[in-house]
Amino acid sequence: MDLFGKKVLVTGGTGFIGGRLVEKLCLEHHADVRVLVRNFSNASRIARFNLEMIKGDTTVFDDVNRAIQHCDVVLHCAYDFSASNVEREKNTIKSTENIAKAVMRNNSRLVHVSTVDVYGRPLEGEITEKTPKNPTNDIYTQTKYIAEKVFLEYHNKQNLPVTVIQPTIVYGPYSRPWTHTPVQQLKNGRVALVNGGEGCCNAVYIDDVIDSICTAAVIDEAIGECFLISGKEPITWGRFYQGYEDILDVNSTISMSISEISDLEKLKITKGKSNIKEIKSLFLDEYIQRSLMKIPIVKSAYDFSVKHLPRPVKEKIKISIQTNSEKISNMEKSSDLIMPDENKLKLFQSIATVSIVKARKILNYEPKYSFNKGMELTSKYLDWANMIPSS
Amino acid sequence: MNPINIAIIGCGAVAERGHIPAIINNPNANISVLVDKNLPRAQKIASKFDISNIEDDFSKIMDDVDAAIIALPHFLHAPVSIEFLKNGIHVLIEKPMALNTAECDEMIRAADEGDAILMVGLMRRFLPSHVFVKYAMDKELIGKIKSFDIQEGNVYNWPVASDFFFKKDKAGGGVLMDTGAHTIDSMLWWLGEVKKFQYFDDNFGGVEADCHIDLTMESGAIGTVELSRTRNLRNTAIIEGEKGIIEVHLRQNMASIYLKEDDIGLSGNCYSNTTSSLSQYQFTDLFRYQLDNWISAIKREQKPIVTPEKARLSISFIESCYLNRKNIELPWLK
Repeated sequence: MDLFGKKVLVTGGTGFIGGRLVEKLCLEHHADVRVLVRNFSNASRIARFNLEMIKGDTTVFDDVNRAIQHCDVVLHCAYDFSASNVEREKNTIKSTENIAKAVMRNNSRLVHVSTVDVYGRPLEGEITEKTPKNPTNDIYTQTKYIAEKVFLEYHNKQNLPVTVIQPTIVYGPYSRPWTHTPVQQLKNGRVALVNGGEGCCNAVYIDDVIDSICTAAVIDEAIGECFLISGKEPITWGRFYQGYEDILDVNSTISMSISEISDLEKLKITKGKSNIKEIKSLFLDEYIQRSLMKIPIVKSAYDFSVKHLPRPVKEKIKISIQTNSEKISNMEKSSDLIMPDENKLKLFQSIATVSIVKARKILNYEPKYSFNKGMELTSKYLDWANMIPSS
Repeated sequence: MNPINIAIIGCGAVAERGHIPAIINNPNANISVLVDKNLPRAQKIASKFDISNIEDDFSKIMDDVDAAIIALPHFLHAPVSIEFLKNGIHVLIEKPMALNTAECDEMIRAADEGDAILMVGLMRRFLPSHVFVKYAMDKELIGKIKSFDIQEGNVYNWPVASDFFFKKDKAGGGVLMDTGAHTIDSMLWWLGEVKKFQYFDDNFGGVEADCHIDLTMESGAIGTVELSRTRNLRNTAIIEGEKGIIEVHLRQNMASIYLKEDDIGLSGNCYSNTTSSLSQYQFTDLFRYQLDNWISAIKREQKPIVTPEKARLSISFIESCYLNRKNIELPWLK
């Protein structure tokens, strides 16, 4: 394999992409792996391997420099979800510069794992690496965009040997955004799909992304370049969610038009922020859910809130939308409808496809997993992880 | 009698959350010193609980204490407790008792030599629900045991300060050594000796995060144990006998019993005259009961409930699991 015997530093190794990356580096590439770990509590999955864990934070130059010493390759997957928006932006810039400087100082080589989101959310057409970068204003996309920009500037001005990988919708074992969360949502409520889910979902199975990262680390022509990484074939969002519905044996999606969704949104805006909605969104995060549910009063409050929405709220919802659609009214009454946020709304209605021509050409990238094949493995994982309710 | 002067050796999360609060609330015990190689950490905990003495080396405090609670990285359990025991200082050692049975034996010998009470922190033995299961087995409430299914796991979230926990030579193992120290202890306590077993885990040169054991007991009962640091599992033991079924929560004070012939069952919290009947996991309560028992044993008023000989049984079984390990099948690895 590409990285056989190489000394490789992985940042973000306790996360979803980094976790599988470490697994493949150890089991398939037989690389000499080092992981920069900020919080050992999350290290169970990577601790199964004979590797070196270095305690440290990417925002601290000495930590980064110590971790990169003697490494042939740095695979940078770390991203800090925890800090506030201001902190997150500050930390991103600091981490990015630390990594860029330490890679150059140690004559190493860098692959930065970014996201297709840096191109914004075009509604149609084909996204290629030449599409102007136009990040949406959410903090995740903004900081990912900044990191790319800083790395590429270091490349242009100081010859930082960096390659940027921009994956699309990455699903599979341990994927929080595109496997755990949809499964949790479909189990607990009804998921609103925009226009019957006819938008284009550029899904890619985790292992294909990992292979592209490993190849990008060794091909010289890849230096200074960005590569979009998507799956074998684009599918629709309807099919993506159908995949999980089949695994769970549920029928939990509901088609809504943009106007139906925006009517409901207007209603919510006039109401201001609903406590119940905010609490419910927290509860959809399984990690938070588990911790919160341990507190007896929270559990009772939750049970109560889902059963007994205050009547005035229910009535108001009913009146405003009856004229529009009976169906939504029924859904909202049961108060378990999961609506896309602004960002997801754009994502779900977009029919833009993602081109992997450049990755094919330069990285010899060829996705190995069709959606069916990826879902088959994901299904086995979900079963093993005890996430499929037994019938 | 004066309160027992106790040294806390190792100021990690279990000392902070369990042992120290238990001692503070016990009139028969007194914390005389907190010891941690990391002095700022000891200072932080000392300030939090208003404790005046801290030290960075346990050998300096040997003459000043009656007893020590040792909550250090696993590989230090045996050598450090042996130092105390030989000097006649009573020891409550956190679980797992030691890395292997050879170390357990040395610890038992040292306790004899120093005439000190050595107890092991397998505090689930104080959970009323766990005591109830043992009672049900002894009284054969559900008849002869046919089978059992034990599952314990959650996505790992215990605060780990260093990487010792994930090093085989320092931690002695992964989820089987850590969580399993409790689970295997309960299993052997309830169901008796193991006749034969097959052990599978996902360790590829580090420490395992998931493991699976198929067992046949001397009693003839067959069963499985599944432990995980990556998955949220049921966290109960289901034990099926000829006459009925018991299910017990492994971390909370909850149990159910169902009797087949009469088609009747009961589900709820267990208690005795001396214990709380609360269903929620009363972490600090268990440390309180454990401390009470240890202090009574030190005063020679009661027998210690978790003797080192009992704890050695689970270490011995864990040791043989590691010696006979096979790869577990992970569905996403082909």
